[in-house]
Amino acid sequence: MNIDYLINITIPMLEGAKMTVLLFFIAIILSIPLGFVFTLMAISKNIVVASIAKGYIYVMRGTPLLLQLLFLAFGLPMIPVVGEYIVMDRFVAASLGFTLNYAAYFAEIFRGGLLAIAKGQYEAAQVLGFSKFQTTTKIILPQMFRIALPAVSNESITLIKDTALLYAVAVPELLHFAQTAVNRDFTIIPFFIAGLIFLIMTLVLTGFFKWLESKLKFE
Amino acid sequence: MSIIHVSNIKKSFGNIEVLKNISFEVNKQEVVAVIGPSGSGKSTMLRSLINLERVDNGDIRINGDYLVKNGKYSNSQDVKKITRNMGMVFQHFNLFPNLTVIENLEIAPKVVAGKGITDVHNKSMELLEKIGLTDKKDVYPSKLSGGQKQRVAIARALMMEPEILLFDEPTSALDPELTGEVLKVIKLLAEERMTMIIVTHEMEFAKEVANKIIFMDNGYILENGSTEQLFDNPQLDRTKAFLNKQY
Ligand SMILES: Nc1ncnc2c1ncn2[C@@H]1O[C@H](COP(=O)(O)OP(=O)(O)OP(=O)(O)O)[C@@H](O)[C@H]1O
Ligand SMILES: [Mg+2]
Repeated sequence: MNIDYLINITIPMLEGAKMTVLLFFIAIILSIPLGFVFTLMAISKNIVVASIAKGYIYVMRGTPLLLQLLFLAFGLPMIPVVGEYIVMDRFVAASLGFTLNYAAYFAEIFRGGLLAIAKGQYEAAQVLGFSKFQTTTKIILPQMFRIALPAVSNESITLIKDTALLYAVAVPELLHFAQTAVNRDFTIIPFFIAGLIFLIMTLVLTGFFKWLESKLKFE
Repeated sequence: MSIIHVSNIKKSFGNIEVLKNISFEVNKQEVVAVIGPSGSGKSTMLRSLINLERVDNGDIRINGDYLVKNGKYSNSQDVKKITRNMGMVFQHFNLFPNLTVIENLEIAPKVVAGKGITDVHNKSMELLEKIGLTDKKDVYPSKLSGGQKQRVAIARALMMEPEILLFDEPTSALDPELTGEVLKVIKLLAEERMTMIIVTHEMEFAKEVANKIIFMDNGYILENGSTEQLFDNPQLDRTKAFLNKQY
């Protein structure tokens, strides 16, 4: 075993890691705002709206992400009549699945953040003359996001690791190339490299959230 | 000239009647202390004045305008305009933890009243000086003591230049050694002839700062009069018993 060999197997894995990172950013950027929309729906006074959001959250959190991905990538096209029109690129299907699934988790996290804000904050804003919109944007959201931040951080690290599920819908990513190399060369080194790449990604992410938390400490 | 005019207000939470026919008036520049046992409805009454609670019946007039007439509220725009005349200081301060001290002071005049930055800043610096917290202007509330927080909360209310200030037990959440600094600020406002209604358990303070006392019990105003009269010559046995228990 030599350096050349390590570089040779690492390069395709890094190519695969690009998919991981791309999926991560797509899912994070779309699921956080979408999750917040579900939060607002879930706390709505309109029972229908609230029920839809709560039902959605329940189903998404109550079934395996893998099942949801398989359903989107391979299940939808099998639906009679309409199926043939909803064949998606498998990466697109996976991005959609991750976004929809993580939105449900973020919705719950944000809802917890909202519930943790004292009633007195709304009252203080009201007596100072704030409108509902001003109260939400200036007082409530910044506090909600601050409270939710540790949980958002955790969820993001889980998301990085969950991207390995791309393997199951046959999108060539990090693990796919690792597995290929393992089978081909009969060595477990690629698994260690894959693990190392994941560790580096989670390390960067952890560092980022630490920094963000210190920025938003309100101290 | 009465600036607050309350007549026959009633309020229930579910089927518990908390305010049972409350009437009183407050004149401009008066300082009124509201006293009475726990659960007698003091907070509910005070919060009704600034529309944090909705009464079921009766009238509330502020500066001649009806907030509610015969249990019917004015439209929400008028309600907003009428309550704008009042500021409120809460027992638990309710400062905005995501904003620094000076941001807490300036956000409402900037965002709500749309006032110019320079005017707002001059005013906030003046008030910080008054409450003695100029050096804390850039810290977050989490770094303040309870007494400091409450002084900031008072200044924040004053930023909107209210004609009337309402206080709901402003010192009850404080360590005893910190109440003095807050009471001093309130006394200062009394000397400047600010109209104030103060719900308090601090009898000595009430005696010192108030011109008028309202004694509430079980949803009623049992006695209502000048400070001397109420403390030195209470009419009802119930009032006497309450006052005796305080010492
Ligand atoms: N939001 C609410 N829902 C139900 N009951 C309430 C609510 N707020 C107050 N009450 C009840 O109304 C009654 C009067 O409460 P209020 O807070 O006005 O009394 P208080 O005189 O301010 O008492 P304290 O001195 O303890 O602050 C109490 O019995 C209380 O339990
Ligand atoms: Mg009270």
